[in-house]
Amino acid sequence: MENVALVGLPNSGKTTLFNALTGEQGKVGNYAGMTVAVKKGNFRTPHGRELELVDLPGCYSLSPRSKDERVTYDYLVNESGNSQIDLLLCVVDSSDLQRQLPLLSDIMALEIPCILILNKVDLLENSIQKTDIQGLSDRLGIPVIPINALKKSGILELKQAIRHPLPVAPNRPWRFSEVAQGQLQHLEQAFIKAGVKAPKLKSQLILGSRHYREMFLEDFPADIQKEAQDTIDQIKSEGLSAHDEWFQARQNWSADLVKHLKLSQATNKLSLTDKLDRWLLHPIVGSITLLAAMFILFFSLFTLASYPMGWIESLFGWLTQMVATFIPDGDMKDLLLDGVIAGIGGVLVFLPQIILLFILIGLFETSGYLARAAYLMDRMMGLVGLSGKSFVPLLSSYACAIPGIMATRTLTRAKERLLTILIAPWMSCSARLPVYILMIAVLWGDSASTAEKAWIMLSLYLIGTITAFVGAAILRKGMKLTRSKAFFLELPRYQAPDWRFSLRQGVQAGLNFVKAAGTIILSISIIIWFLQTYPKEVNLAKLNQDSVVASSIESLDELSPEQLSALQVEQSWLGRAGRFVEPVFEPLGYDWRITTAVLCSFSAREVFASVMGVLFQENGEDVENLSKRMQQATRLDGSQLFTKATSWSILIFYIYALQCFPTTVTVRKETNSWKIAAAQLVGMSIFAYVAAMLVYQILS
Amino acid sequence: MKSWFTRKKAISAASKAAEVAAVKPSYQTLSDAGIGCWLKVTSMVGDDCEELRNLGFCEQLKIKKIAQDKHLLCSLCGSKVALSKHLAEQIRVEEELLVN
Repeated sequence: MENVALVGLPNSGKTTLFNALTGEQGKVGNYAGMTVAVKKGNFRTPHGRELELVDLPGCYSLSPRSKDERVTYDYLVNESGNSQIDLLLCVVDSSDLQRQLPLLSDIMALEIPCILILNKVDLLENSIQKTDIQGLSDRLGIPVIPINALKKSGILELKQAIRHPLPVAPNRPWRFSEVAQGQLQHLEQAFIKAGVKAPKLKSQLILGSRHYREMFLEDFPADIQKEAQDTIDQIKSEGLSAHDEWFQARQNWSADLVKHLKLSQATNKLSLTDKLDRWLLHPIVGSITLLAAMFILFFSLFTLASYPMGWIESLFGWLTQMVATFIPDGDMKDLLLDGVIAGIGGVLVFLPQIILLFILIGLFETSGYLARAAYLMDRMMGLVGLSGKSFVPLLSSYACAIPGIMATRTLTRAKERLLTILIAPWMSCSARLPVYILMIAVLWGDSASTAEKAWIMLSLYLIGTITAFVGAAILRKGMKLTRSKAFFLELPRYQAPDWRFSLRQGVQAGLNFVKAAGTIILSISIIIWFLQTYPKEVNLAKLNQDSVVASSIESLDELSPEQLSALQVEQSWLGRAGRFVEPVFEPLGYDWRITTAVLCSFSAREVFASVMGVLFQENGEDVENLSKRMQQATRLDGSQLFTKATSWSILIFYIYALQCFPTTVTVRKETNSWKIAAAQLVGMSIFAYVAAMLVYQILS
Repeated sequence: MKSWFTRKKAISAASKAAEVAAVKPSYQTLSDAGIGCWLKVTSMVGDDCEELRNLGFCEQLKIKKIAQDKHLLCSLCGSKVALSKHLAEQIRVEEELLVN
């Protein structure tokens, strides 16, 4: 199958085009730096040919400065031989051609057939005429297709353009001055003779880009290194600078092409984006707006999601009644009621909030506001050695730390990237949502209004965020990370949020959540039920000093049904294991049940709510009463279990603990170091333990 | 008398302006330029020039400086960008008259 790759500057519309062609759901957002990894899909041309389409991270040039740009460079240059590209689709934002075309000149030096895609053409003030398109195509020697990927216009024309024979591989479109051009060609020949891949591109990058030389020159054979240095010196001896020649040649070529297209000239007219930015980028008004936007997000989680949450609770209530009515008494009935329904229901009730969180973040991302938030946050983040660009990976981590950590590939400074990766798990991810909501209900019950609950939720997120910033401020001293002086951020035009993409993102997150509930959480719920149920026999001879019943009891007949049930749980396998580990978490105020839930949730945080459901639920009871059952739960000595101190201790533990093995694996992959990943896991666990202990000891 | 004082004041102001002009460098950087006017890049000097060129800055490029706070907000080639003062100080500009 032939391989077609999408390449272009960040936020030019590559992933939107990828989704339009393949029907896939690549992550899009109106922000430069959304795509950080290679994504593949298939599509068919009108002629019935199936092609593999590859979406690459955006890059400003082929001299990579960040990890995501390196991903694109490695794929295009194909050093490993694993990425044979048959056709390149170079996607450019039509409203910004002069900045985007120099990359095309580098792409053309790869000597791979390519097509120029003019995206967002309908956003131009003066429309491009068909004759201009043909003229541009003639000058470039490659097909040029105007499209709007978001509105899916021009897609058919693009598919029709991808036909055999494929366009001829273009030549480098610009030239150095006569003397330098001769030197460049001489170096190219040396590269070709030495069997260097992409010789035309690499020879011009070696001459023109100091950054590329610093990064890659040593990878070339020694004779090529000498050849390159001699060429640079030769050009210098002629009174020229290879660096200036290269940039000037590309820019002149690009400016000439744009002039030819007679596109809209610079104007003083204010666009809607400019008018909105007057307020949204204001240091005071903008910051207040950002805080208000975050509050509305959390407020929506409690208000909008409450209706579907009620439906899910009713569904599980109905299921409970059906099982209680139609299944005969016995272990199977107990398993279904106290294991499966209690466990799964306790977690699935939060599904609407998970979906809503991802939808709202998707609206943020696709509107163009994300870049403004990064700009506003830069001031605060500069205090801890980070730049506003770190805000986007951290914001992504509010949904899930894994894509957030991968998004750090857009950061150019390695230390800044590492620091962002280290603190990202402290952005409360969606998996913590069930724990927070459950514990807020336990702590405040019906006494707090919806707005108050939203503020409490926002406060929990802020605790994690502020601690992350404080941690960054401390860690950066050890890492000797100074504040970045070279800050640059693109602020894309505002556009109507992409509801379809946001809804798809929310639904996908919901499906992933249900899948996890149906596998990990269901398995753990059944195991917990089993361990809690067996052995069923109660042995008075094995009563502990602090047992739920007095050790003076001589016969089981003296016990009430509730006491018998509690004693059975205490002497079950789970009870015994929990009592064994309990001393470790006793300083945090946890009894063996909470200890069990905390330890189980290292597999997945949502398991906490599920295990609470199994341990505190009674037969035939509605899931919605779980928080009320927890409020009434007592310790063995009869005192309240979920006091303010214990509840806050649980919340603090979950804010800080890194209870997600897939995140640790991702950290290892992105940092290439098991040491860093393990240190982060252990460090955050210890921090969470100590913080929770301090909170419990102070509040009690 | 009044006109003598007025002439004296004008001469004094003119000589002060000449003194200032003599001390000030002959170029202005994007960081120094006024807000709201269109500018043309004349040259780029500094350690981050290559990165600036990669990002699309080049000689003869028209830029409009929209705002300046901790960073600069500029409009160029149909895009809006934010850049730090450190980068802006490496871009030399002159004012460009733009007719609507």
